[in-house]
Amino acid sequence: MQIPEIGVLVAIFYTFALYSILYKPNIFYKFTVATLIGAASSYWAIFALNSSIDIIQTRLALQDYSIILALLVGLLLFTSFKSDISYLSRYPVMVITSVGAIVAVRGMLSAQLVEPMMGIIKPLFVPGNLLDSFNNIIIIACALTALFYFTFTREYKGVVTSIHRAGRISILVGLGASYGTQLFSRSSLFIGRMQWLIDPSRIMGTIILTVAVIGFILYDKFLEGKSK
Amino acid sequence: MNRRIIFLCVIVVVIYPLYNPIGLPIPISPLTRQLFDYTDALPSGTIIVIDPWMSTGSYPELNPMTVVMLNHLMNLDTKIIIINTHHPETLGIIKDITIPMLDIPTDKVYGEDWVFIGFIPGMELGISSFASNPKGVVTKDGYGGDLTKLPLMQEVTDGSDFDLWIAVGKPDYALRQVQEVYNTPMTCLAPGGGAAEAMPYLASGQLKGVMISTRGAAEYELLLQKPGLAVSGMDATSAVHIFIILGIIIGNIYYVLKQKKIVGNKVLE
Repeated sequence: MQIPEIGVLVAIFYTFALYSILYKPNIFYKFTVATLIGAASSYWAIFALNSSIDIIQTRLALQDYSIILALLVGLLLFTSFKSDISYLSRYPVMVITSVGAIVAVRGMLSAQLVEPMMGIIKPLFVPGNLLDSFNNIIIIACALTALFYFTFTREYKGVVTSIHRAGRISILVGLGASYGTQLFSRSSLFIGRMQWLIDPSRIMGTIILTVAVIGFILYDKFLEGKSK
Repeated sequence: MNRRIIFLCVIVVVIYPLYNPIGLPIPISPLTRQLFDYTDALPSGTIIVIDPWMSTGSYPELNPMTVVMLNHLMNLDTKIIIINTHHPETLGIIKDITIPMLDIPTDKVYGEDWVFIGFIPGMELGISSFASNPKGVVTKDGYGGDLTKLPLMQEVTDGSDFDLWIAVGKPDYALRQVQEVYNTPMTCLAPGGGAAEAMPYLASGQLKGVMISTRGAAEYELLLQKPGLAVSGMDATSAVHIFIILGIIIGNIYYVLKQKKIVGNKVLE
């Protein structure tokens, strides 16, 4: 076991500093968050600049001079920093949002509406396979009742109330499953980080920082007791 | 109860199985089996695009899935294009963490059998631009080299030349811009939170297979007979989930008993 290099020690320190919020808000957490925001912002800015230069060079090399117009429209975004001409920054925003929406809609109707709905059309009875038949009935019933839950054109009484309630149950079951998978996702992230911390090449650094954290907590408790 | 005690219990419950593996069995789910069988049956010379949507916050979950899938593909006679349309930081994660973890066979040549393309900005617009003109969006690969000179990139002119698109993360953008437009088959390595979103696409046949989170990666590692990072974390995953389930059950029992106590007092009054 050896003490890891300085870069790894800094990474371990930042990991502990971020998790220290579980104890209480403290200066190490605030410092780490500020560092992360600063580093990420500068990284994004440099990358955006490099990517833009690369794309412009690529298009000009292909003799696609429409990129010059795109560059000029994009530069208008910077007018937002000057109040008297900041209205000009709305034009590139308009282009970005409208082009983005059009590109998204292009495939949306079929890929995210028609095709998934076709997937609900299943046989109610599969010969020789009771489980699949049961699954298909549940899928169709839950899909229809969940869709019906969002209709507001009929008064809820009689049979309509029962269908509405069944729809609510379907949605709640789906939300519960989604919540469970979210928990799984979060626990996977935490476990992945723990695996990184206790790796043999980094365990010495983890032990040093753990001792430091325990010392910090004990000192904090001592100060708390003293102030009371 | 002080929440810090619960946090401490979670830390202990996670770390203990990582140090002392219990060896709980990991049955292979039909979902992972379906994806494995589909990938294993890919014809020789298939051109695959994989787009990992990893960020610094999500890579502990998505990286094991990406690594195990790339390890499988590298051992098949396929050609792989790794792109990045998500965050600029994903470039560093793929270059410095994911690719060094791969078992790349010695006969796989960079530029001929696999290519790592750097960051393509624009997210969905980036995917659409890349699919319509792969060599027209960026000219440099992830290592700063000239992309247009790589032999693999000479074989692709648009999305119709891709034989498979693997979305690591949300499949929506690639479904709209690649699968729908060029009819390219797609699979998805979905995080836990995105599994519910991916399943309808699997049911409709738009996705040919789905791998869900680190559990799916562990099953895939077992199918490949190369247990790795995902398998080693499964005992801890099971332990923390059992802890959460017990916590929810105890919490609900306590809540019901507390309610009854309140109702009981009112009746007596």
